[in-house]
Amino acid sequence: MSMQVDLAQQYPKLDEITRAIDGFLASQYPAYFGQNAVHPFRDLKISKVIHDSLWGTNGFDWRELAIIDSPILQRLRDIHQTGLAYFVYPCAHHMRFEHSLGVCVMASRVFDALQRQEEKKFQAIASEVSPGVDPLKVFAQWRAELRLAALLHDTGHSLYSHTSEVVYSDIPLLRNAADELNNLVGVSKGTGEVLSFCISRTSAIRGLLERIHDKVPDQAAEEVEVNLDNVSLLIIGRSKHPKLQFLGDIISSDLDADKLDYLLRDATAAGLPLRYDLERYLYTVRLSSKQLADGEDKLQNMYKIFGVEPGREAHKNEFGHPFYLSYSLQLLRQAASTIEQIIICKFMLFSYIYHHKKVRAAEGMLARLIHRRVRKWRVEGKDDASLITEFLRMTDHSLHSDLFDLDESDLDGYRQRIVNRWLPRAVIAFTPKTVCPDGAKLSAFMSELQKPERVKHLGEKFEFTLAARLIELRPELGKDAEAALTRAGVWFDAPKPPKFDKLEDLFVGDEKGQIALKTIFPISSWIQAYITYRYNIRIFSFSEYVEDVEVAARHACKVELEIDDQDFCNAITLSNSPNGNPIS
Amino acid sequence: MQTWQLRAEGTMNTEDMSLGDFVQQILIQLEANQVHFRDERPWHEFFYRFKSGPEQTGMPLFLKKLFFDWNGPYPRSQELSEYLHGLHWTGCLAAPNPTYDSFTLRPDVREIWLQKEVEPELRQFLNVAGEAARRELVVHAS
Repeated sequence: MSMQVDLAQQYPKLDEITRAIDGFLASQYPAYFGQNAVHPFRDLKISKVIHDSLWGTNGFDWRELAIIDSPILQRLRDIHQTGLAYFVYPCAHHMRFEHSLGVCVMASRVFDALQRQEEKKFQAIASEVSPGVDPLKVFAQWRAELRLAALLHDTGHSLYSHTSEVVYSDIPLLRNAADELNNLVGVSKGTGEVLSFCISRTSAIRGLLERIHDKVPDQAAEEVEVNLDNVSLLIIGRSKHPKLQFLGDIISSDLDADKLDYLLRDATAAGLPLRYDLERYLYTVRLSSKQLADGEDKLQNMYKIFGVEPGREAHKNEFGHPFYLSYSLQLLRQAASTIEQIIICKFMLFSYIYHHKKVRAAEGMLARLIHRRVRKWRVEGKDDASLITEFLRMTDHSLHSDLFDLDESDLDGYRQRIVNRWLPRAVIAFTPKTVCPDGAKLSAFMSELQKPERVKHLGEKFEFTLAARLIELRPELGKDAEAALTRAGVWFDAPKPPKFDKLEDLFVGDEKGQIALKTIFPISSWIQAYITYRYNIRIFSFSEYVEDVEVAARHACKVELEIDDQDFCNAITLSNSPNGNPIS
Repeated sequence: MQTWQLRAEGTMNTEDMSLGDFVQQILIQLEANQVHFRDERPWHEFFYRFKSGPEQTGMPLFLKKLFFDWNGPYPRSQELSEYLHGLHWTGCLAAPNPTYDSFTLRPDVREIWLQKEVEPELRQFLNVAGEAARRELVVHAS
């Protein structure tokens, strides 16, 4: 294996997290990642077959198996892919583990299709990126790195996937590390990806992969080299060379292997008849020439750091920026309907599963519980790095452990309610299109919630106005607004809307060249119209407080949205109480 | 009439102004003009020019910190893109179906946004930016 680049000096936060994870792995799993690690004990098989309900029978090689069998991947067996969605879709019990294997399978299927269909380009890229090396060996290395990246891409997840991500995203060290990573690679990435990136750069992974060389026959060990720097870049959708950008696209882009797996896996597990045409995708996938502008020299810096200096084009592009010529993933125009299916599938899943009101109710409760756990850890003196490793220690079963015996009166019964599915009810809900005589105020309020720096403040403001009224109605909840809201299971729920901004940049190819997808059909605008009707702001409450919370929430709407209208009040009220207007 | 926005935010200044606030203030100045929508490039270039250009009096701080992705032929701010789309699906902007080429700001939403108070120095900068926006973001009849 090639030497790994040291990011410590220029990217200290990323380095701090990587070191913290290494410390955690060594202490938590000494037999695997400690100084005297002994696993794996016996010689490894060259490959093994694993059967998946979605993608059938697939082989994994010795290097992949070492990663799969390690605690880093095994812990994903205990993290539900769709969080608490199984409370609504009882069969949605699939885990991040099988998804990770699925992404690995999908990534190599896309790669194999490209290699078959773009043989000349593959040869040309190989001779440019690795001159003088046998192209077949080069292709094998790309494929091996791609599959490892696919396996590792979700290793940063913690209990119940995105529910805990909402909480750990607030850890300052992680936010700062995300800024560093964005600056390093020149694209914006989330905190979950930061953790997976750091995990892939640990000595633990590196040490394991070095150690197992002695556990396989020499011939196999020497067959394919891997560059772990490139694996970590692929995880966040980049690559060590601009001509290899398409490998990053396979792991993280609008048409990535992650989506190919989770769309079908989530839909199938939930029992939803959503499909896309994978065969057509694979038949039409191609490499397309693409400019990567580099006005702030971020890409130049990244390629330099990772030991490659491919050289930017001599002139500036039509928009006045220096640029690299790269190859990205593209589908032919014949697959326009497949792209449509993939995009629509994604938004249907948001509407049916991820933003389902009962899923939001369950996950909202759990997020509150995790927040309080973090607050306690803070009081106990844990620093940011320790908090991050606590999240890596946790999996779904942690919810049942004494970690969540928090001994706080206002949270009393939260865990029992979650485990037994005694979920809060949505008391009121509105979309931007809810009947309202003063629609401008509603739209302005909803648009204010789209400002990331304002959404928390506006939500809290609404909650506190609601709480003041609720305490008048139910004095037994106590005088403290936060505690009263917690006891009544009340919160203002503004889910993050699905992202669709990059659809503007999708291109399809045909004999005339590249055509922007948006000129064939304005998919992005269709999706926006869809969201207008399907995106709900909700107020939740435990069943025993519904009637009073409804009154208090209507009051908060009057004060905070300044909409005082009976029709609006009726339209947003979901309960069957005498105050409300039942909506089926 | 004092709206919740005024009560919540007070007077806007260069330090506190966010990207969303800035977009709103620019759109106010474009009034009922049709503004580029399906082709977002002019928007990203407009913002990138401010970020990469010289400091100007009254320039909001967020502009210098705004992050741009380098994953295509021009820099692209994901935050900007998401906010523009958010204005569409929350109903603040009207985009003609089925082309969605351009959008116009709803007059009644504009009235609400107009109530926000802006510090004089920032106002001066917004006027300059508004002038540039009229040149670059408005769809001119050919």
